[in-house]
Amino acid sequence: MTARDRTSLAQKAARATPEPVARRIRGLSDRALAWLFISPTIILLLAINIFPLIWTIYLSFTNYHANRPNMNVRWIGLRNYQRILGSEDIWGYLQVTAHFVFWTMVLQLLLGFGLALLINRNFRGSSFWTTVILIPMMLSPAVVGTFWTYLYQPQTGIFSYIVNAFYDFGPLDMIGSVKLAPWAIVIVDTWMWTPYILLLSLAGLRSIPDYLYEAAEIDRANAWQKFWHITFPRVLPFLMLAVLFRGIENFKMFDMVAELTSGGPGSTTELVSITLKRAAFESWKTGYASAFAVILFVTVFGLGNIYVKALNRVKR
Amino acid sequence: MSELRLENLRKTFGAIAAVDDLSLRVADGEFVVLLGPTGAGKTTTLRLAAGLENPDAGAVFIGGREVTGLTPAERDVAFVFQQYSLYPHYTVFDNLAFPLRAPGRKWPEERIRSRVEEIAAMLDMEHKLQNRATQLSGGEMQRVSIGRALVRAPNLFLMDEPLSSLDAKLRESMRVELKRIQRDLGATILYVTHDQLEAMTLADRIGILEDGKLVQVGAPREIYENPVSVHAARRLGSPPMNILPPQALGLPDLPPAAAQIGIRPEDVELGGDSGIVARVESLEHLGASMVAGLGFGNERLHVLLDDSQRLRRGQQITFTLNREKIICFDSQGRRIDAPPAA
Repeated sequence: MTARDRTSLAQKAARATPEPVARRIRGLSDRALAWLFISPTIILLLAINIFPLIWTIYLSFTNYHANRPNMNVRWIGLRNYQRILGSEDIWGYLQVTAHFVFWTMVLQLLLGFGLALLINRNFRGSSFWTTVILIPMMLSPAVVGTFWTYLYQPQTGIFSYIVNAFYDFGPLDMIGSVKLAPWAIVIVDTWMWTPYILLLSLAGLRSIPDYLYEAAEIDRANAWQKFWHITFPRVLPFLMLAVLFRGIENFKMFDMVAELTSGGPGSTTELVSITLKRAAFESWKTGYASAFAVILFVTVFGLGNIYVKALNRVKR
Repeated sequence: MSELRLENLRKTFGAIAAVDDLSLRVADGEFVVLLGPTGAGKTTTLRLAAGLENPDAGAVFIGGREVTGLTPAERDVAFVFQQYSLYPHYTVFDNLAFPLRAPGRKWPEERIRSRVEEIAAMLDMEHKLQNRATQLSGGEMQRVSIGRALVRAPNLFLMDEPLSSLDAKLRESMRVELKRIQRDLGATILYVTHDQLEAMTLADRIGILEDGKLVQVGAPREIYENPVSVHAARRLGSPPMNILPPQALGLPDLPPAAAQIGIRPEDVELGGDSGIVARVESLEHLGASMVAGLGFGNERLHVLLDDSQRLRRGQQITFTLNREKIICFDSQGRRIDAPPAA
């Protein structure tokens, strides 16, 4: 569009605009108008994102307790941070979280990508099965956590029944056993979120043009080479994106696990979010919890940034 | 020997016959171009030859051996796609080496290196061997695609509009390069395009396709001068042959079945006292030559002239047709041979 077209278009638009509005708006410069349009967003962002973040950082240096509003709030410097990083319990919860994030990602990647490869063959009814597979993802995590407590019942639950149909383990107490509980939450999350990886993988697979495979076929590539040289590199950015999203989500996983095990037995499934919630809203150690939240935020933010750099390199 | 022979090939997609009873022979070392509009079945023919599609009927022979039903790999053909089918995350070197590293070939790395360098030199790409495929320009990518076809010296090259995604200037230089490479290697090539200029300049023989049928096969000059149908006539030449109703021209002694006559733009002469009166409606200067669009009655006619003629738009002018060059077609668009002199 040439400059003249643009001005004439602007003139036309000005003429088409009802007179009073036009008069009011015309008094403003373009810059002022731009600020006017984005200010609601900026105000909201400041009010519900930026301010709480800064306030949390401030609180993390104090001994503030939200349930004792009349108490003197004292600046205690880095003491909250020292206590958290020096606590063996906290490192234990971080390990539990790492176990959860790592295994959910590994299993979901393998299953999601594998299912995507199957679905992508476009057999009869493949779109029906895609929809069926997507259902768990659409449920509420709290609901999923709650009903899996029934599925996991050692005596009456269907999970134990099915596993025992393959091999006679006896009743499996998935939630009550110290050994099994960390895997119980991994299984439920995998059941729920594998479809998500499947969807993104499918998007990646569908974006690969046929002629690449045909060219490879002419070049005498075998099925494995086609997968390794075409399919995998083309889907990899999609998979990495899926892992980024799911990894962040699972690092701060709360609702599903809170309903399913509430961190137990003992603290074998106590993810950092559960610890954080307890510190903040059960012990009411607001300053301490704020410091913990800041540490988690920095961790996720830092890892996320490193990961995005790697992702961009893969994309190139 | 690596001649290609297609015998009575037929391929349908649903109710549509993309290729209909097509037979064609490409001799060893010959460059044959299939020319036709979109949807004429050019690409399908090529894919049938490559083994990327299987025919519903008919047979494919390469080097005298029947290959119908064999996979592309077993046919040992090279295929250059319209889109640059490169592995984007690999370097130029790895892209060129890929066919040589395929299982069953197992060349030693050293031999691969020298072969790839040889091909890169031929394509003028030696200095780019370490570049990633995504860092190349469109012309370079297509050169690498062609290089990937050349690198393993296959029996037969199949090319599906390999130059169509390049800009005009690059297309011209690639055309020259392709012809040179084909001559140097003595390669057998079946090439598909809708660009008549590519067909004219590259082909030893051209096959004109229409609705899945091969309507004419011959040397470019031969088809240009003796087209068998209106369709074949208008496929070659730019501007295309003028097709006119004979009554508009008042031509005597035409065969009675002649429903249309064709005359090439260069076979019309302007001036003279006895010609048909027309008005100059458009002028296109092409450098050394120019194209004038003439209007007379309800008809239009293109004339190719050298640039020395001084014409103005709107000017009245007379023209005559070179009688020897008039070609008559019947109402189906088929050629009618001129009647014996009475």
